Amino acid sequence: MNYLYKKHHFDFSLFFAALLLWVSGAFLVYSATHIHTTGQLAGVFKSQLVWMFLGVVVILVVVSIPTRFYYHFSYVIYGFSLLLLLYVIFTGIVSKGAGRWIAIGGIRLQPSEFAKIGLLFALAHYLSKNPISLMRISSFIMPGILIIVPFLMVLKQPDLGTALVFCVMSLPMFYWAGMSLLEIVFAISPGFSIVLSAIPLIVAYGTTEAVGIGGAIPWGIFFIVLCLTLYFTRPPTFLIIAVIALNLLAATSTTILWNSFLKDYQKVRIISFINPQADPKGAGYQVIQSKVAIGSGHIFGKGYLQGTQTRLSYLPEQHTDFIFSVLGEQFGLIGCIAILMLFLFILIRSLTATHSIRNRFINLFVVGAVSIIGFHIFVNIAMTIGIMPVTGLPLPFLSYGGSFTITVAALLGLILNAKVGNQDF
Amino acid sequence: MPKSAHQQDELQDRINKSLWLIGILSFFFLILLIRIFYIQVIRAETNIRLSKENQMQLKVIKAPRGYIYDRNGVILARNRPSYSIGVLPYKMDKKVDVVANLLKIRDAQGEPIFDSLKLYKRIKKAKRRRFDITRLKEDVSIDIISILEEHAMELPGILVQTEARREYPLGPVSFHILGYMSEIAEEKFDSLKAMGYNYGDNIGQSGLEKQYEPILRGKDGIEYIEVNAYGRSLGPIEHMPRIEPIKGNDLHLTVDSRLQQVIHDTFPDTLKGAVVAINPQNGEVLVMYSSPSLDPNIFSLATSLRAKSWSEAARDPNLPLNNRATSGTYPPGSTFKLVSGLAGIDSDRVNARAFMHRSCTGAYRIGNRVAKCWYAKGHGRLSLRDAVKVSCNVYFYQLGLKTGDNIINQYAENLGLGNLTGIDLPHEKKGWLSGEEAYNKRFAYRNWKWTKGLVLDLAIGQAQTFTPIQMALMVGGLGNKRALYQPFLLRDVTDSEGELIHRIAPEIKRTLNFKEQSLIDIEKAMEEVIVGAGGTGRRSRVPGVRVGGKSGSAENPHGEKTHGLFVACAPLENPVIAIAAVVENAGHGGTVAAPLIGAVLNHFFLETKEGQQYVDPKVLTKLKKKT
Repeated sequence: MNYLYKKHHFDFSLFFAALLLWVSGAFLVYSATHIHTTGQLAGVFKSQLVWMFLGVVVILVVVSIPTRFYYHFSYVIYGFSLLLLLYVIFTGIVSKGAGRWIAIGGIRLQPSEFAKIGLLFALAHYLSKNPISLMRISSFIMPGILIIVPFLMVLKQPDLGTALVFCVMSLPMFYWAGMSLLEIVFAISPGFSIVLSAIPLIVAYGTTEAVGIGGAIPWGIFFIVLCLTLYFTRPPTFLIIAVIALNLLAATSTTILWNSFLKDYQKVRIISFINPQADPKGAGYQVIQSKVAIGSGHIFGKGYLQGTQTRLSYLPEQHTDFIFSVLGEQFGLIGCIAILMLFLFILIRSLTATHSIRNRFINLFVVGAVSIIGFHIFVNIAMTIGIMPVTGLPLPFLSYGGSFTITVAALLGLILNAKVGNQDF
Repeated sequence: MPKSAHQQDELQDRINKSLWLIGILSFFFLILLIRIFYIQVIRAETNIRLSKENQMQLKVIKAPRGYIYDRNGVILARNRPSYSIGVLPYKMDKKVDVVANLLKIRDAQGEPIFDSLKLYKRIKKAKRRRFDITRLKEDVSIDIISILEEHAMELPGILVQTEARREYPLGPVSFHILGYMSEIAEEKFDSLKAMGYNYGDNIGQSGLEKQYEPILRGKDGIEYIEVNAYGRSLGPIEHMPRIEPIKGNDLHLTVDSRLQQVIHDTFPDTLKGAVVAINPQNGEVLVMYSSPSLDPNIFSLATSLRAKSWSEAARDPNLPLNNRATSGTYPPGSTFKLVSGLAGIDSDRVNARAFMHRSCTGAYRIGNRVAKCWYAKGHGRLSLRDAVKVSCNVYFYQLGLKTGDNIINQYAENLGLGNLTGIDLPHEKKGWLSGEEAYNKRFAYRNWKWTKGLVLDLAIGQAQTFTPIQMALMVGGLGNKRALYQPFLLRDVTDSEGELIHRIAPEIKRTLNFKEQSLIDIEKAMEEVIVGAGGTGRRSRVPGVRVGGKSGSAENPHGEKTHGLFVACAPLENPVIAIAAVVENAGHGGTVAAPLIGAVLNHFFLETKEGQQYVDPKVLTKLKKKT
């Protein structure tokens, strides 16, 4: 096990992979916005260059801070990010508008982005000292509180996509901190129950025909599989009862929630959230146009700056959430695969770094950072190719956006820090 | 360096866990790859076709607006197809001089359809919204459209759109009831956008078109269409979502278009005024006409023509856009004597059968003021019935002093005067009741104070102002005797299949608790006005039907001649029609307003099935023989 004792060094390949992605992103942002010589989108490319430069600075700063600083200040960073969220909610109430931003000078910052890092530190710190398992429900109390506070605050904004990031980033960290994969499946099964049991309601909405028993099939299959898993894996009795009860409760409460608490406009929102085709004018329009753009790129793409869909402004948000469709249209399958491989390289290389790091705190935040980046990549690309609802999560390195670029830079800086830093504290 | 077994286990654990995580991650990336491969390789052909020249367009399918029918099913408002020429600037080809080619197009008279300067300006403006269609010419004849279609190759970026325009088959007959439509104003667009309105949509601007806009409007649909390089539609794209438009609901009104036509034909074109008839048994509005009227079709014409007619209408000193029936306020004149008379006898301040203290000598003195009767020679001693019949002012001066402004106003208010009737039309006016309190409040800024002498003006209806629909409601209340019904225009709403989805039930606005005898006295007086010797209402007579009414002449500061008014209801036993007419600055009510009412009543009772059931059958057969 030679690498255990290898001298820690700055990982240039990881750094350059990130730079390469950023430069590609800048080209794509330029392509998406260069036809706008006036108006809101005119200055987007230049400001993205500035953000990228700031991103590199952030990486270098984050790398050079001693790792034990992060460990000791975990909860302080977490608390500070919550204060920023609180401030946004407060000003949002005062101005009676959607509060997502803090304006400092001419720059607008999104505190929900920094809350991801705050939660990452707090969870890593807590879990590094406290193992977690479904067998001891009490071990979930503290992490649960740490997650639910920023979750509710961001949900209030309202930003469901970011709120979900908080949940999803925690799962791999829980896994690392002691939960088995099976336990994780049990823990998130009620979520599946809610989504699957809502299918007949969503299908039935707006039509007079009854869906009938067929609508219950997806949830039914899921529930049978869940029960079989419980039967064969034989977890403790209280866990079996809890999992089954929670799933049944989740499945039945969907109907009650749907029929008595949700207003019509909320139902429509949920439907277009789950099925973009139901709202072809709004969110569905973006997805349909995005699919056509990517699909028309074929193998080699139409060539840089040659995209017809993107050039003609038929794609809204193309420089932010839908940047992947610019890539797909202009660089085709080859371009998509190249970018996906770069992403995968960064994520896998980060995860393998844990082999040589014995410090639990460092490993946990590396896993968390990889989860945040990976979840964004998957959800964003899946959205542009029409297999996930439109959530408004940007694509790391490629999307335009100040706060997000800085956040991704900080996460990457932390991963690099993990590889150079002193682990003894 | 030696390693403990524990450290070995921990290392293995880390490697295992990270490998699992890498595995899960790779699985998700594989899903992405498979899907990307599917759209970029397997479905490539379709997607390339759709993206080429950006052939896919999202198109709004305009929902047809609901129709409006009268009480007998006659169409009052419908839609007609209309063609317009638009430009989609990004489709324009720099090599082809589209503007020059457009200027060559001439209509049947050989006139060019475009004005070169305007066309250049419009296209220049259109280029700012490169991906939106800007209209160049509206409501173009089908001949010109076929010319355009022939020369489509020379006109890249120019396209023809079909749209529905509102049409009112009866023209000016019911303008103020129906209102009109026009394009949403730029400054109002932002607030309406959230309700699903699109740029350039038409919206109801007055009358029922405005009142029931949400019912009439329907829901626009959406489809994806494939468009060729010249912007011509090649039809909807398969496998793309399509939302069908939902036609707006139809309105069925209480109005009788035949009676509207009668009043439109009888009302002198040069005069201003209004006529309203309601059914006092349920509040249905049978007639509502305001003069001068307009042809609402002019607002559905092409923009240039429309703008002209709009500014003409808006600047017309006769205010043809105003619905005088609900928003014109007039002193009721002597028609109000029915109310003050009822107040006097019903509150026992006056005995209907007795004479007043002073007989009419043509004038009445109170303090320093000499208040005149319209008949300078004097009416002599009168009972209430005769006083109403000859409309003696001196009698009512004394009645006013005895009864007082408070009690008279109470009765007026009970009969719906000086209050919004709640008719389902926008911009209804309230009018004004006068009286001590109201007078002092209103004229406080001038430092005018109410004096007892002013009750004289109030008693003969020269102090207050009411709308014609209030006057019809009032006389209907006197006829119905028990209740005042809320007047309304919309009776039924049906959906596009003709299925009834909503019916408005008659609603009692106020219950009336007057003494039986007082009502009979007033009723007798009203009949005397029509049939009695020297009565002012003989021009409102209908053979075979007992009509009751009262004329009025309102002095007003705006003209030398008085406003002529007349109110009536029939048949007196149990009235099914109550009607009020006002003619501005035209003279006495008995001469100018009563004939209008006579025309409506005669048509209603003698020509319509609905009215004929109330007429003595012998009279009807006699009349038939005559003709």
